[in-house]
Amino acid sequence: MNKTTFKYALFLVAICAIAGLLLALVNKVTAPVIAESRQKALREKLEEYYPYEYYLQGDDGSNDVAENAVQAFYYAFNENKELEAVIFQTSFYGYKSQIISLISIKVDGTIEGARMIAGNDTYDLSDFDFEVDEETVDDYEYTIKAGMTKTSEGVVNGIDAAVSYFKSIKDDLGGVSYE
Amino acid sequence: MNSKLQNLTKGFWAENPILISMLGLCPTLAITYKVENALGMGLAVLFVLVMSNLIISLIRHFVPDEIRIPVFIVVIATFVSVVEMVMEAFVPNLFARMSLFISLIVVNCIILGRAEAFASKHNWLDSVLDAVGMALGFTMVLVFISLIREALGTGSITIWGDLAINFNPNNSPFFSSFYVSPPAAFIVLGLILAGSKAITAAKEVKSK
Repeated sequence: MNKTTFKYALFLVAICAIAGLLLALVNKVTAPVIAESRQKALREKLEEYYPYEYYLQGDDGSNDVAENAVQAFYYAFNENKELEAVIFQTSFYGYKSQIISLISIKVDGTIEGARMIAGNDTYDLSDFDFEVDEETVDDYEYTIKAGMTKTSEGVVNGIDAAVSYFKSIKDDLGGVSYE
Repeated sequence: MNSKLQNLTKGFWAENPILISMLGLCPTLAITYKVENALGMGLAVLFVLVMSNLIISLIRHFVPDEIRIPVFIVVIATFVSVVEMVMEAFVPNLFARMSLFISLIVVNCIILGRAEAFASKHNWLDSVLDAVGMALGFTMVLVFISLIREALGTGSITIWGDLAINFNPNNSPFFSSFYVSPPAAFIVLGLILAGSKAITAAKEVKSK
């Protein structure tokens, strides 16, 4: 490597380092706001898609950024504070982004529904409906009406992960209370 | 005309990025189905253009000529990333609709074009004035197109968030969703470009 090339490379490294510092500073300010607004949006989606009386997060949410996994789950209770369903937040790769879904499974093992709540695949084209006809976690099939095939894969994988997770916690659900 | 004022105002008409240079047509066609989108994109471009022109003008004597384009791209990409983070934090709904096109500002020919053609050759004040003028010229055309498309397509104009003007309470069939569809973007832009060419031609004839 000659001296001029080394000088140019050093200059570019310096510029990138300054840019990185600036971005880190901005990220420090915006990251908590983004996390808070995502949490708020998630809560609104929970209440819109699976309207129960009370919700309780089933974990500490520390898995919130995990990819291709169940990120979090919520216990949903009726007005008598009886556990009705477990709602899983999953994140799986779709066409070009992680597809965040909410999958609700009732305590008796019936899959209540699956809805995509976030993703950066093509806007408006990736909406879809998941049709469920009293399917259970032991024997389920689903029909998806989707604008985009690869995007729906993110939800399909989410359903499989949610079912698997539900089976692993099913025996402990009797001890869950809202108090 | 005073050269400072000329630097500011040339983007409005004489060197308007959309009407004259025909740059930045991708976001122009894609996001102008809502006035709110046009304002959001205009503000994002204004911030990125002003900041990148300012920084590039300030460092122009230190940047080796051979690597100036990569340096310009890094500077522009940094400010685009800043805009993305700020928009996602404070206007998440708008960001969800426009995130793809905000990212594409990095390769927007208006920004790289002004960096290469103007900011790398002029002082910081002229560069900032040029950036403000170009961004305002760009925004004005975006807003004009989106006003036509949203008004004819939905019978309402969404200025920002919940602030909207609805002049179609009876769902009149006069308003057609065709105007908010992509083909209408080409048609409206084409008519506006034809109109601007006609005005420019008429001005030239008059000046002769």
